[in-house]
Amino acid sequence: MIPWSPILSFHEALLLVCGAVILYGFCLRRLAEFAHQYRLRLAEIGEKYLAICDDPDEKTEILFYLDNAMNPWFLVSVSALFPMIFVYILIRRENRERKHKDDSTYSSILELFNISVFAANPLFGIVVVLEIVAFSLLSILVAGNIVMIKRAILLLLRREAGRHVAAHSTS
Amino acid sequence: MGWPDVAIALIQFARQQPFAFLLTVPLTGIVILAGALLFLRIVVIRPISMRGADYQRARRQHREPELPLK
Repeated sequence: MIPWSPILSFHEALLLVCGAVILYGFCLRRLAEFAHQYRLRLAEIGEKYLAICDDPDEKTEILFYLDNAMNPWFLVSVSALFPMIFVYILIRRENRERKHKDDSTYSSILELFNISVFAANPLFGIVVVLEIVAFSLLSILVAGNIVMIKRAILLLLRREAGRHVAAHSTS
Repeated sequence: MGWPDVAIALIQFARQQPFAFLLTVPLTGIVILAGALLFLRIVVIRPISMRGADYQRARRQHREPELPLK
């Protein structure tokens, strides 16, 4: 005798998973259609910017943006490496602003790349956004605590110094 | 019927009637998955690849022609 009830439960679960994957696929397609105009714009201004760009580092950066604009693995690696990147940004000493050939064009290339790469993998895009929010809140909390501890130490030192001065003046 | 009960019932079924189990559970599962993948390939992956090809064409179109080496 065949136990149909557990077999049908298994198939039901499998169909639900397939339905969810297909729904995600449809979302991905709609997003790709939405992002297409931005990708074409990115291709246009990115290639034009490459032609006028002199700095080899900046050229490599723009080429990276253009090559990975449709790469779904980019956000997967960003989400995995984000904690390390965040700590690196916090502890690095040099904080110089990089000079770009044309700042407004560069920032619009970056904006278009962000839209394009988010449309390539919205699931991990949301993960990265949540990571950014969580780490920012954490850093604000930690930074706030450090400022409070510094103030408390300074207050203590001042009080101690005041007490010493008072003791010396009376003697 | 909870998921542990389903798993136990399926394991018992596999022990008692392996051939019937093979036909009704893994084989049917593979057919369902293959159908879903085929559907995804036609409806989702192909249009997205076409958009990718459009993007690469746009890049080539706007690229500055490189000067030939003398």
